[in-house]
Amino acid sequence: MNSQFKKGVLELIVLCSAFDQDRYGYELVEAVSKVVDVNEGTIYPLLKRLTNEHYFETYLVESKEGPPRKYYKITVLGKQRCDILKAQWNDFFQSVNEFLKGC
Amino acid sequence: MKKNEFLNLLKNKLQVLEEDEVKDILEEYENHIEMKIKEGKTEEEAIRDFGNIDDLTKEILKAYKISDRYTESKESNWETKLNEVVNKIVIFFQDFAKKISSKGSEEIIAIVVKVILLLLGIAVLKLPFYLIESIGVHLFQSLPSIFSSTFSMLWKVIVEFSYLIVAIFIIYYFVKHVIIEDKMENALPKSLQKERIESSPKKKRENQVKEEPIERKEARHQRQKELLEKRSHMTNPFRIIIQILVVLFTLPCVFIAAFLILGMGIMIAFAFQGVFLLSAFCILSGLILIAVGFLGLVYHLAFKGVK
Repeated sequence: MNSQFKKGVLELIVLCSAFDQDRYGYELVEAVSKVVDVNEGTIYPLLKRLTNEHYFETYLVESKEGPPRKYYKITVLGKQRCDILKAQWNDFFQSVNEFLKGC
Repeated sequence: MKKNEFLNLLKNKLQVLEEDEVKDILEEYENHIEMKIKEGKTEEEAIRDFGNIDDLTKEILKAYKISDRYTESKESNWETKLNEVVNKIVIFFQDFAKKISSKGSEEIIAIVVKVILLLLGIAVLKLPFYLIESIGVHLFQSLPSIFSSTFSMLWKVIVEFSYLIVAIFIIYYFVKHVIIEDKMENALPKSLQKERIESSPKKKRENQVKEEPIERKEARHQRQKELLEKRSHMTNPFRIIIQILVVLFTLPCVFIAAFLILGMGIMIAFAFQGVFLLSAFCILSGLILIAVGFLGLVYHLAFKGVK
């Protein structure tokens, strides 16, 4: 699939997959890469950016296996952002599909 | 590529970023690789999945809104290095201003006393250097006149410069010492310091906020608010008087600063005519810095101090 397509929706998918529950980095990456086939390494920078833009908050939780895990918690701002992106995606998806029907 | 190799390479490529941030990112990647290994992949496979390391670096830097051109030109370009230094200095002074505004008057007085002692110490340090300088000049005077003037001039420049360097080093260590002390004071209780090794201060703060029950937090906020209100009530009439006094007392200081700057101008004029008085130049610039710094501090204390 076109990598530019993926990049656009990646933010939406990341925000949505942490919408209902807090998730730690690896878990999020796995969840996202199930939906889109994407280089897993590039999701961490995205998480970083979304945290810097206050869409996520992070906290550490001790884990029995290995080092403490960094959990990502979506903020109110993040939820708003997710809704906006979702609406935009739906609009876009609909109009493109409408157009493609006539092709 | 092995895990450590990969992490080191990434670390080198991310040098533009702050240490804490780099550590943060590297931890994430390390965790990721370890999870992959647990799932049965080899280190090499897990790292190969990340793709080209340069592309990865670009992605990470993009997340910080730093263009990759910055890193490419970093080694060759002096301008970017200078910018980095300037940024660091600006951040340092911002931190310092924040720290000062959050401190009580006693601590500020303590700092001022320390600074005065430091300056006195540096002034006293000038004496042995002066001694060395004059001994050298006397020694050179026994040489033929052509050599003596050049050598004594060179000698003077060397001694003055070494004094300058020593003074700068002392100031640097002093500043570092004060700051480290402050950090220790602000640091969290010892039980939490262990965690510090693993997590950056930012994270720690987040953790703390998380752990604190909401009711207690609210109660604390209220207490703080009450305290602040009390404080501002008590200080309001006093502060106006203090402000007036400060204005009266600092007026002479402003004049002194103005004269110092005038003196500096004269020095520069002398320098153009071939008379270069290095020590006087240094002393004057130092005094100007002190005067301006003092005025800034007083202004800050009187008009912005209590919030």
